[in-house]
Amino acid sequence: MTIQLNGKQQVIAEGIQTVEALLESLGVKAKGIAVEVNGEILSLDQLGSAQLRENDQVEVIQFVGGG
Amino acid sequence: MNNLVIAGREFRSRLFIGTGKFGSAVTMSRAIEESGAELVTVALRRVDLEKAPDEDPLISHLDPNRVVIVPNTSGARTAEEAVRIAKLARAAGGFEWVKLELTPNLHHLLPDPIETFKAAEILVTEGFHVLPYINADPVLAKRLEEIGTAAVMPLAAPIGTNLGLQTKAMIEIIIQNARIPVVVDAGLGLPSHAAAAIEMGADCVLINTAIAAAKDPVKMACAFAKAVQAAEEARDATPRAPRSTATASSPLTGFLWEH
Repeated sequence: MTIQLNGKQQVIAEGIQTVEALLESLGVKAKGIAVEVNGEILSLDQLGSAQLRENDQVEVIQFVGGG
Repeated sequence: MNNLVIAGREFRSRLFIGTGKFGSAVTMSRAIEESGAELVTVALRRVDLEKAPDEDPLISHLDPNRVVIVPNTSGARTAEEAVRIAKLARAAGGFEWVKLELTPNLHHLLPDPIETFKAAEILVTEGFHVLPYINADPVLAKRLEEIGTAAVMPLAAPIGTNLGLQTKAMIEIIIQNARIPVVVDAGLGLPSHAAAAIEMGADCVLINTAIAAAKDPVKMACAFAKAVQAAEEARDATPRAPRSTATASSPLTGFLWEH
């Protein structure tokens, strides 16, 4: 399926059904990040059950240095 | 010496540090640790998925038991965007504090007072400890205090300029009227600038560029910490008011040539 991932179109492998699986495939660890799907923030315990759908807008955010 | 309290949390150091622009995370954490700073700001950005996963994220270099971590809303141009970032930061790290930073104009990076006020209203209601970054506007500072922000953060000069206390007269009015802590933020370039802010009654200062962009950031962070502490002690010692005519420090009697 195709999703919008951090502002870019991305085709993801068929086996990836949940946000958790998506993060795993990207090598992103869940600690210290936030995920938003279609404008809704997911808590860390929702990542495993959050099903991805065609055209979902997914944002994966982390902390960086800032003033 | 009275310790500073913001949103119920006590701070021994009046130096807050921004974590941007450091050459390495190790230098950043040493600057924070060695200076004794107890509040740091961080930003929130998209994970760069084109690069290999970040094995050493910034946040792992900050100990939440030792420092209060305050995400900023930098990059936000509207109240809506700022609220979204604050909530994402809370989801990512559980942080209840937020530095409201709404700078729609990337040229001067001055804060939008209207969007800042709107966002502050929403975030205070949502239970955040809101630290709004504002221009040195005494009226806006008071309005933010009235809606329940934890402090106000007037700028000394535009972000990253190191120009020092350009807004001194306005910050003085903010301090005189404030019942919440005043954090002088942005534009302080030297320890003497920070000391001047504390001497005139600011509760604390937030420094980023002046420390991070110094050749030796750890040393500079410690220099700022000392200046801030010296200024606080001077304030507690109650300096004598300046006067325009000379008064002798040595006795004006008993000179050698007196007859």
